[in-house]
Amino acid sequence: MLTGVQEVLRDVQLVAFVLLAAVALRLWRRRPGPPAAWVAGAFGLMATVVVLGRLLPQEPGQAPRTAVALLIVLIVLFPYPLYRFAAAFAPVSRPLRVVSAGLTALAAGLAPFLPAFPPPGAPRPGSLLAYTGLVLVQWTVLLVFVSARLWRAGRGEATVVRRRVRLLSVAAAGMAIAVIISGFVPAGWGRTTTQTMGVVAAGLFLLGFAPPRPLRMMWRTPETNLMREATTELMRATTAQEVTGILLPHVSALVGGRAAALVDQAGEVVASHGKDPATMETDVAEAFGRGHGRRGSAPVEVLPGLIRTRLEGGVLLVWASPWAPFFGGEELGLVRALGGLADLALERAALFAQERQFIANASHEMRTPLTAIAGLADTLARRWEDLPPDTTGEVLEAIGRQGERARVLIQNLLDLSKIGSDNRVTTRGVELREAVAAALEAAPPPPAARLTVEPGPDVNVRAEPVRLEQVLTNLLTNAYRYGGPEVTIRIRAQDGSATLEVRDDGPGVHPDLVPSLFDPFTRGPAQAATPGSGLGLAISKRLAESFGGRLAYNRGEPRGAAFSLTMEVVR
Amino acid sequence: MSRTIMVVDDEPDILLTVRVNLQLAGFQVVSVESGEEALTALRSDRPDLLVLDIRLPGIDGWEVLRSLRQDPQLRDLPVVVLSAHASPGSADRAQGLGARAYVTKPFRPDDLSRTIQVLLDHT
Repeated sequence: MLTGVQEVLRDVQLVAFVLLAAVALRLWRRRPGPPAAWVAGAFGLMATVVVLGRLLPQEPGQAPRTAVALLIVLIVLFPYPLYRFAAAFAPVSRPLRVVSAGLTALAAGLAPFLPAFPPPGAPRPGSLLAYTGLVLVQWTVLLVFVSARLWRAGRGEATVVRRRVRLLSVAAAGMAIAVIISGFVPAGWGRTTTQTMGVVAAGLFLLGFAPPRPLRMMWRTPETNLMREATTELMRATTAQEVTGILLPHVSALVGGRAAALVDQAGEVVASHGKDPATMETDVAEAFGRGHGRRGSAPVEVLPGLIRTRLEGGVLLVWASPWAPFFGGEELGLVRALGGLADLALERAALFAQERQFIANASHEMRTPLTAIAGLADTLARRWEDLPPDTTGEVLEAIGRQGERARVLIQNLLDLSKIGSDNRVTTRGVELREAVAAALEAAPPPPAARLTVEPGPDVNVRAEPVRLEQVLTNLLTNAYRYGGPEVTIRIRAQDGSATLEVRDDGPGVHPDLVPSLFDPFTRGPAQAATPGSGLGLAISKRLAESFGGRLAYNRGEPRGAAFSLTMEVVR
Repeated sequence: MSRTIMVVDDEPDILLTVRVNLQLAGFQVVSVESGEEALTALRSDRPDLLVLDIRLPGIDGWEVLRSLRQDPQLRDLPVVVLSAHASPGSADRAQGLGARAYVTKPFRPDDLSRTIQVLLDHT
């Protein structure tokens, strides 16, 4: 009866440890590096022990001495690679290193010199008893270390990682107990218990190293909920601060991290969580030094103690334990997914910010005409009789002028919103010279300006005639207003496209202004006294783009501003 | 003897609005269109009060305020800041730089006149 159970257990044990060795080898192939190599070593040894034990004759005294010695050496070696695996993630104290290596070397070295095992029931010689004691101590020391370290490693980790390392911790403890039992209870029920413990430990190791997908998904429920919560909150976020305020704590929690930061392309910490930005500097500098921005590098990279994810809006860094990436590969996928969502949210926040700025600028621009109109009308209503006639005339003129200014501003704002929303523009071939002539008729040069239209090719361009004329009129008006007396129009055709350039010899655009030149409400400091709302170029650029054209600014040579409108030539 | 007010704004029609109303309230008005001009004019002919716009080309209103605080002759000149910035931060900043009042555009001209009258009565 007992031997029947033992035989079944032996078979199960054989299957379990061979499977475990296969799992460990696969893990090593997937995550090349010392930790997985030690795991593969440990379970490769154990599988060999189980298979070899099965091949040797079962009757006492029948097995060759060398084979038995080899078997003992392998058994003695087993906990050492497991210990090295647990030690691979964080340093181990020197005394423990010496003790674990020393005990293992001693036990393995003595194995060939052991006396023959006596038949069951017969008393064991003293040397054999002493050796058994040595092996018990060695296994216990190493496996207790493994178990304790793995258990502690689970603290604060994401659920999957925590469950996995704690299963491994229990498995290591189980192995230690199995060996202790086998040492003190040599036969009969003792053997069955040892075998059962071995099978259970193997099962736990299997679950820890290769948990099946449904189990992982079940364990991951808290992180999935966290992910869902973060997604919902990110969709509601309207400012960059809100986005990083949601992203960083969540992304850190997903991988059981201690801290997280968003770093811009220049290596500056934009936002941080869980750690003082000042203390992040060294890590950030290191994370950037290590092949950052290298072409083809993975979107998520694992550095020592740091997980780096590349986003559109910068680099996401999470300070996490080394266990997190080893046991939580899929959690890194969640980090990447959340990072991608944050990218979209940041983009949206930038648009919101732009819109808020636009509204603030528009209302700011309305304040001047409104102040003048309301103030002067109020003055007229209260004190008409007290005003000298000259002043009354001046006041009425000012009201008319500011009314017109408000009207133009509102018209421009409406234009801007219309171009943005109306994409149904019908283009056709337009004779560029005719378009220039029409624009010059609508915006003739003021008496002070000297206009030159350089001879150039006659070309038909793809455009919408009314919008093209509006762009040209805007460019001419700008040149008259802000340029010098010389204004030149030039047409060039090349490689299927034609470029019309309006150049002046004024002071040109201030270099600080160039990057935002085509943004709404951009005006130079010297232009405040010149009429205009700062919307003309923004409108012109959008108009040009609506019919497939491109509007660009270049510094004039030797001075002045040159605006060029490039369009497709049609035959 | 009527008091003199200097008004600085780069928008001619705002200058007109302020000037007409202050004249109706019995003040002498000097209109200036830039920060540089204002600093020069203030040093040659000190008015009784300064009405100062913040957004000016070149030397802006903040800069003018700072220069005034550093000038022993002009340190105690009462200043009314006229601004299109409605944020509370700007008002605090103006007060921090020694401005006595902060008026946001659009404003009612007789409110401005009254504010100025009160300030001058207390000086």
